[in-house]
Amino acid sequence: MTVSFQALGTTVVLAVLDDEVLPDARAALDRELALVDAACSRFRSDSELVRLNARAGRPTPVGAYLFEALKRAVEVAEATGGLVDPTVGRPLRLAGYDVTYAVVRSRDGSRFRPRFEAAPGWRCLELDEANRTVRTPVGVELDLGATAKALAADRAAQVAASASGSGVLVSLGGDIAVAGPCPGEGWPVGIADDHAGSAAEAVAIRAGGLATSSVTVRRWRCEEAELHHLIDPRTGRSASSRWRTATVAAQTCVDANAAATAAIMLDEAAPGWLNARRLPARLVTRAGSVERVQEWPVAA
Amino acid sequence: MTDSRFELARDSHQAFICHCSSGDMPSHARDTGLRRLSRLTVFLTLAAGALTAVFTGLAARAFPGRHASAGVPQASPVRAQNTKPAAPQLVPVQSGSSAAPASPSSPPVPSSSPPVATSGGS
Repeated sequence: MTVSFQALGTTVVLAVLDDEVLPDARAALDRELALVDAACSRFRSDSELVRLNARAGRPTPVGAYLFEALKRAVEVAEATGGLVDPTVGRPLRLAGYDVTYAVVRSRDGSRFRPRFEAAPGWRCLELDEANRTVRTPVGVELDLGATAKALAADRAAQVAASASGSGVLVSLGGDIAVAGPCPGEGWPVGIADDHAGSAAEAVAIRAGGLATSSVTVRRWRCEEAELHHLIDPRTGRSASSRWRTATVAAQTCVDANAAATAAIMLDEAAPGWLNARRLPARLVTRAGSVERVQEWPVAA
Repeated sequence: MTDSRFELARDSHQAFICHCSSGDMPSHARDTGLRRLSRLTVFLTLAAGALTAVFTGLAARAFPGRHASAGVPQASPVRAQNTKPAAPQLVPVQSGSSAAPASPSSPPVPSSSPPVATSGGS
């Protein structure tokens, strides 16, 4: 059984193997969504992340959820050599993504003049695990858009499976995680440029996570051009890549999302980078041709 | 302190000493005063020690020192043996080659079933 609803500014899908446990799984999922929103939202004035950004320069105590999210973000930044970096908050804001995407999309950006700054990089962060405090240098703003939703999908799938005793699939805006038993052939998942669009092909996964990054979504106009939300931390500009969409399967949804976003940033080097890490991936060029990496299957 | 103030304080002190050592003050009153002075001295000494400890603790919490950033290796073993208070434990940083992302336990397989969810940009 599958339910779909809106949360975190995107579409949430919850699927369970056993229909009777859906209420338990849904309750567990709702708790996780509330936690991630309160901890990691860049647009909620009362979120912990907003408070942390406002206290740059001082060690700031944070909750367990935000600390875990920041740890994962730092690990991802390290693993991708800084291609997916949590210190991209200020570059994102200067590029025009300074409020919720619904507002960004609706306003007239034709006279907006963006500024482009490279991200300072995750190495400037100080995470004190013993005291659970975080310090960012003055002027550094954090954004967890590249990892927090995927982390929430991983956690939600695990807690929903534990709470319900059933196999579970959770999709948060196309960031997909599965936990527990799965259907015979695996969980069937569509692959598309936009998670709200129609699928170009379908695959089945039995464990772990699957995520897609695409330059075709979350776009806005500025004075000179059209920008998108995949900001290259090295330049502060929307990534200019051969690929318009990258989908990756990995051990977790966080890993899958990190690799998919890194693949966009890596441009021509993406297939080699993914191959070296044995990550099955589907890359779509700007012209629409598909390149399959590792054991990504040919469509049935 | 100016010269006139210094002289005034010196004269007052000498007058007090003379007053205590002369026959003007009863001996029991002098002893009582000295006991009070002794108790006051002990109290002030203890209070000063306690305040020193309190402010030292507050200062240590307010200024924990500069830690290695998330991207810098942890303190060396030699430093760890130092008698100074241990620095807060920072999040360990993995090396780039061994860190995530990790490959899945089983790769995706083709599917002809209707998808329960779609993975795409969001």
